[in-house]
Amino acid sequence: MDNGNFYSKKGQRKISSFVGQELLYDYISGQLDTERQKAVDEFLKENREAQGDIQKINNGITYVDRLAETVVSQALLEKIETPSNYFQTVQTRLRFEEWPVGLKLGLEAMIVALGITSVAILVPWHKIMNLRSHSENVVLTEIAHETVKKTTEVETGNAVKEQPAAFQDEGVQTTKPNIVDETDVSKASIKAEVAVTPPATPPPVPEPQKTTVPDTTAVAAAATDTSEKDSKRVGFLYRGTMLVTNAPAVTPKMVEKLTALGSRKAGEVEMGWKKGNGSYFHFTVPENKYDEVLAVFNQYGQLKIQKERHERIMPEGIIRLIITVDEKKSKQADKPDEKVTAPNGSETSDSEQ
Amino acid sequence: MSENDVKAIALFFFYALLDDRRALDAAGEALEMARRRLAANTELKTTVAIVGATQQIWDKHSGQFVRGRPNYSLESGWLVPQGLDLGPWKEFQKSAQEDEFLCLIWSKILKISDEDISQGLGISIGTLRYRIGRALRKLGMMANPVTTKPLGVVK
Repeated sequence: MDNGNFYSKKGQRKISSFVGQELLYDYISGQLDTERQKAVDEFLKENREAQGDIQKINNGITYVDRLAETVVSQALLEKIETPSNYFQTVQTRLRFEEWPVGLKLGLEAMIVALGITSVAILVPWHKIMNLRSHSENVVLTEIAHETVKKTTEVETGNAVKEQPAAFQDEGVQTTKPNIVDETDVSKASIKAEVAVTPPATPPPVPEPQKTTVPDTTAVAAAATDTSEKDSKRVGFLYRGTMLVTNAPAVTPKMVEKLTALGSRKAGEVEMGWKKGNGSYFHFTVPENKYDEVLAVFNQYGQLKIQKERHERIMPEGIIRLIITVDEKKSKQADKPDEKVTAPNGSETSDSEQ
Repeated sequence: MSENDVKAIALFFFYALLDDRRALDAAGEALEMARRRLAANTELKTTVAIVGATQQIWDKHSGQFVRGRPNYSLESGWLVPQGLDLGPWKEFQKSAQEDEFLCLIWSKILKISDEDISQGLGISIGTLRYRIGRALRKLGMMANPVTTKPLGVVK
């Protein structure tokens, strides 16, 4: 090889293989000056590896020139230029799609649980419950309508037998709430008035339409009249206790007599329900039978009874009593002249009954 | 910035990432960054801003994916010349040094001048040309002579 043919830019040395290789790209792209261009030309004549490299570089240039022809669709350009909103940015940065499945499911379950908890906290449950109890009060009114139906039967001939059923039997009302609001009570009292009145005087033979279908106009008018009066009414309960000898034997007799007077159970249990050694009477009775009821109990012992205010307002003419009858112990002695309260509110002694 | 500038950014990330969804995300970010740079420095050339922004966004995304796993679809909207086999580029993208194939994209695909690239990257022109020469040699070794055909959808 003639060293004098290959010189560097300074003309001092021959271009080495390494330098020649690195100058190939500049050589192809025409970036070399004339002297170096000539030197690389001479280098390529002798170096087959460099010739192969020239071919590779040309192939590469041809290939990337083709790549440069790639077209980007207008839709993509618009997509790139459109500034992403906050949600998209967050979604992109979080890369939710690439999260592990377990983590995604856990996060979703947590979000659902939070939603349910929020609903449970925010929903006004107490108002919903109030609405529900209000609807139950409406059911109470419907039962009063049945009472009117019974009254119709009374008017048509079964007056004497059906009289005890004329007032509302609280013992039957297993599904009704214990507390009744005043508006519903006023309606119930209207029905009770209609029911109680007939037995006292023989009812005139009514026309079929009047008996089968209650006149809503008349009921409405009656409701208007009585609502003012009922709004001032206060509920009462007669609560009494007494001691008897041999309560198991006495109780059935008391029940029989009370039933004959028109008493009906008012609570969940029957009259004369066995309570320990004694018995328990929770019942309703027409107000005009009050003295006779006292007399029944006083036959077997001394009844101590008092009138208490109570939130439950009974229909007019009906009173409610709770009498607890206990077995008398040998040491206990009857106390005479216990004070009792008459239905009209005046206090009297038992001896006066 | 013109539509060609947006297209250049999009092409850069398409060939750098070979992932159409990532390319769209990265291109959007790079476009925003380039705009901010141009707004901050009115004397800055657009191509220089593009090089700087794409380099920065590339650095951000490059750690989040593995090279050599292309992920693009036919409906993606990238219209590669019909008959052009992307296999050599995939192989090149997988095996080449990062700075080499990035410089090749800027220089030969986006057709940005060496001066602007070197200014955007903060390197000398000689270094840039050295990288491009090496990249072309590697790519040419993988690519067969290609023929000119009409454009077609990516396969």
